[in-house]
Amino acid sequence: MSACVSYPTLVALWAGELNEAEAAAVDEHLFGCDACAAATECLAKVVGALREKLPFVISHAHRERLEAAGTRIAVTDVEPTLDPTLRPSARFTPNVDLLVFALRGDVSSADRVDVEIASPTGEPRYVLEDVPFDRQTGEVLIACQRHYEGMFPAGDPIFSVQAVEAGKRRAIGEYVVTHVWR
Amino acid sequence: MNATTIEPDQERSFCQRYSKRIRAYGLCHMRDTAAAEDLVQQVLLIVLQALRDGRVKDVDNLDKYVFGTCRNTAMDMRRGSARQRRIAADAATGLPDSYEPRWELADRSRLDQCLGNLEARARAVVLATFVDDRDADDVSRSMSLSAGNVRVIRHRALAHLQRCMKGEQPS
Repeated sequence: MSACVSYPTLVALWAGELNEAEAAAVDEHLFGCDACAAATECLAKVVGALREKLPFVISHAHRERLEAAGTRIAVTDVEPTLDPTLRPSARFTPNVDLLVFALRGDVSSADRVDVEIASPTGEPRYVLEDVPFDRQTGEVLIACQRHYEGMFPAGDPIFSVQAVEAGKRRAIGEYVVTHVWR
Repeated sequence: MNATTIEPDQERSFCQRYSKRIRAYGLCHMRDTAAAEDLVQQVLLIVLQALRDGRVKDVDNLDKYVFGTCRNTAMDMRRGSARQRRIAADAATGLPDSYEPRWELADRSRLDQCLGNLEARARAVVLATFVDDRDADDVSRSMSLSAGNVRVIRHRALAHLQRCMKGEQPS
């Protein structure tokens, strides 16, 4: 039997970065080696779950694919404001599978858009670089899934959108949506 | 294992040995949980039928036989061949009862928590690779890193995620 597979090589296999011959050699080893099979089974659980995960920010094409596949989506348009009296609310009714927040702003000249998601107290914090956006509609689509309930116990998260234009960073806006989980 | 008279217990242990390996292969290469489940059933059935019919010449080298069958079946599934559709229809009824050990993907809520524990750059690399399906070269360009750096960040982040999913403290 060939030598055991290193963890970085196993990850490269799962990332699809090995050529055909390398991948075949690793796969064949995995079928015959109990230790390496166990290692890839553990990795399979995490990578499989990651691949089923919707990104926090989805493209318009991705939204259309989800709708075509039968996902029931409720879209909320969101303008930049932190004023609690002006923020929109979005509700996870029983007939909704996914909430999508269309954050609106001028991204017409953006080369890249980054989004930061933070709780009102600053943690937890996600920095999402180079996310999908639509120049024409000026929208960045946040996908909010039902199991996110409880992810931000301190309150509804703040979405900060920034554009990078000709190497310079420009704030587009800060957005909050009042989540109603039931 | 006797090639001509495979016993029900032997069939069950055969299925238990290979079902996770086949599923992992399917998840890795077909990137679809449902397709991976179909692959498990079809490969197990094809090999079991071959064993029952005494068509496996080298039963001591079953790993290689199962791997070859798995690879060919995955290729057939991608082509959606008529033969494959017939096998799919038969697969569920031709396997031993309780053939498969319990298997589930990682818990999504726990995964989100563990992702939240990652350093922002590591999280971005993991999500770009496995959610957005971008290769290391592509990720390296948008994050101003070398591709080698991206690969190191990626496998360390995955190891961290696996430990976190098991409830172990980060090292």
